[in-house]
Amino acid sequence: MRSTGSPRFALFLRLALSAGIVALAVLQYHSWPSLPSTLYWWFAVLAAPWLALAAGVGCLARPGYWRNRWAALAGVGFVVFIGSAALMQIHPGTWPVALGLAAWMGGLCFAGAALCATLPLMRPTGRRWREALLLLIILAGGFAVPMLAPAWGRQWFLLLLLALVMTAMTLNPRSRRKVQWLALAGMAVWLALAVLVRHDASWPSLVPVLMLLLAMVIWLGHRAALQPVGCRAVIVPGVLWALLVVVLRYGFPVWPTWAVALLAGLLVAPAGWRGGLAYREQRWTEALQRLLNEMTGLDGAATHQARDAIWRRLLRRVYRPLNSMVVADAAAPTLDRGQLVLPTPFSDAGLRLTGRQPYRLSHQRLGATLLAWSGQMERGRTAYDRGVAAERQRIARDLHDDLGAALLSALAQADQPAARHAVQAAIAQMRTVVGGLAGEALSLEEVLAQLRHETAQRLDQAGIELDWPFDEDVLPHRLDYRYYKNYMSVFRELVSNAIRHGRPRRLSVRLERGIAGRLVTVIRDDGMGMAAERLGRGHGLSNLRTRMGEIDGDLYFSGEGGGTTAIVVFTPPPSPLAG
Amino acid sequence: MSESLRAGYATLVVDDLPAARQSMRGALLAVHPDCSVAEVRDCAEARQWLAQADACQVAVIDIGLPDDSGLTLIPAILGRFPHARVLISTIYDDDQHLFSAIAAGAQGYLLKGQTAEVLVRHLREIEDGMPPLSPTIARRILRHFREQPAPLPQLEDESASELTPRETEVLSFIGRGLRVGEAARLMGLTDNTVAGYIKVLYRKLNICSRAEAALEAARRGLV
Repeated sequence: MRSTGSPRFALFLRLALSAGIVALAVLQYHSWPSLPSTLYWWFAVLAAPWLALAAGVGCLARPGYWRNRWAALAGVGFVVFIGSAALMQIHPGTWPVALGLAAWMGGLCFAGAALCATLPLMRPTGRRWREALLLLIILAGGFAVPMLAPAWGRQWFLLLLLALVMTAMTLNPRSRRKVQWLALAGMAVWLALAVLVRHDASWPSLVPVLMLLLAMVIWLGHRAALQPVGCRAVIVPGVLWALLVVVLRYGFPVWPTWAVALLAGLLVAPAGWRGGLAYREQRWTEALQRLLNEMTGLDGAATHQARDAIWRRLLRRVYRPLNSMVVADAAAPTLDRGQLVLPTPFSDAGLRLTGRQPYRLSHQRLGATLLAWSGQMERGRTAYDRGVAAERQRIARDLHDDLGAALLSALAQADQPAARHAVQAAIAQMRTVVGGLAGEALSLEEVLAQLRHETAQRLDQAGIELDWPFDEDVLPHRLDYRYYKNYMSVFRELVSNAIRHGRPRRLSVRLERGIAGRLVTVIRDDGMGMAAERLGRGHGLSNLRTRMGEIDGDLYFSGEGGGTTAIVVFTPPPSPLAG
Repeated sequence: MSESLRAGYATLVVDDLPAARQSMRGALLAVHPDCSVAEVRDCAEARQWLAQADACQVAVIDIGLPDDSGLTLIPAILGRFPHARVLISTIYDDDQHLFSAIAAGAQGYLLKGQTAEVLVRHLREIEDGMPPLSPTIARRILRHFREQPAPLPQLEDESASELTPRETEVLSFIGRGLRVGEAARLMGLTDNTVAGYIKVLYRKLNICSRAEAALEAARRGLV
């Protein structure tokens, strides 16, 4: 089941509007009695819509351009139709043929043009045969019902169409409003003629009320041009009501005025209700928008003072108080004889707001929500600040521990080559720190490739052969900064030790999978086999162990059969790549 | 080097650190004993030098110069001396620093902080058509060509917009940390052939990035 808000349904109803207008033109039958009634019916009911349809198809080509013109033509047609009809009603017998023709032509013109203006809107919805079918049903009804029940059928068919039209009016395409306003202009002319020409009015009490209403509506209309939602809420229902009263009065002259007004009111009520809802929604959205804008400012302000100022402005915007007073102690939002006391999340003082009207419980609740919200924001900001500070500390620590230590050891070296080695180590450390700052977890493959490349270069310079067989398998792990840094550093340090102290001819590296997903790195040199003993005594080994400890890893040495074997074991963190 | 014996073999070193310029001068002189080495400190000076220079065979540029990125000098040098060999000197051989340099037309890079002998050796290797390629850059190049949506129009050389299977293989081996020699052994090729592939990769990257720049310029209506 489609909702009434769907565009297709709107189009159906727009078609009904056009058909209703045709039916109105048919009502002019009385104004032109000299024409044979059957011919008139055939012409009015069948020819006009088909002419309009043909014109509508013609204007599909350039809808934007032609629609405006059709809408204007519909307005002119309506003015002519309703004006001449009014004149005929008031002075029956004055130029009957000319006025009848004018009314008839005006009605057709309005109906056709309105149809043409709305037809192009149908195009994007597809399934045009359904609309065509509906149109046919309406036309057939308009033709058959009055024939079957000449006494009341026409009136009731008119009423039914009007009800459809009223529902259509509550929907909201732009071109339809144009037609509405043009119809209003037609109304105004009709009423002006009625007032000017006829003094012994049969509806004396009605006309002044309507005139007042219309004057109001036209005055409001100027403002409505700027406020479409206000227009929907107030003006459209007002205009519709006036229009309905007039049309019903015209179609059912025997009904008492109060009944006409009541019926019109009932018919218009849904439009008023919907317009009111839309108006409320718009106001609510605007208020929310203001609120969110202010809240965003709250997040962006750097200092407590700035945030406090924004908070106060926010409260002024939300509550629109007549007066706001700073109070010393405000722990939670409270209502105090219609005044609202709100604490400030960014300072100790609170605010006491006096409104134009006493504040209610809902205002207090809103205050609590705002406070919770800004508190959340403040906590987020604090957490962010803490995170930034922690990150800074981490960088500082890494620079101090890794880079600083390497540079210090370079300073302590007696000979130049050793100092050079130390400085190169420092550069490598710096590279690790900087590389880790990019914030992306590197794949284990990349880390190993980097290590392999770097180790090959270093060994190459030292004239040592690297034996690191190529492994086809790709290890599906990603190392975050902590793993990356510590593993890199330990690996580098072990290679450095081998180069410096072991003086091997060959250094081999093997990567193996240990139990429980542990990664085992075996670094073996065929040198003098003293690296382990040296390491064991100095600061170096404890440093390496500390680093491995940071990633829950272990470091073992074995010095069997000459040379040194260092075994680095750690569990790489599970990775999304693994899946 | 017979080439360097010719009169007017000119080299340019752009670096703001005197010590770095010094060591680079030493390396250049070791490779091309008779060359003239012009030393400048920043991009502005380099441009001045370029404006009045008659020849430039080799230019070694530091990326982080005081007034601008050294990368901006690459097109300027190549525009003036299309056959010049532009090299980048850098502390890190990672893709962030070097990928755009290669794309801009650099034909190699030299790592700072190396001993004089290593520097000279690397310079010689580049001169002999064996440009360096670190794993990170290899991976980056691989990614670049893999992510390239379609063959670029207006490319001088159609084949430059995609990698051959051999080139892909070389890149993936080097991206896994293998040296040129190791990759060559695994692929059953000579070192020189693999080095040749690397040279071609440098060129392809440069051609592609120029075509991309032209495409981007055309898209923005600059040309």
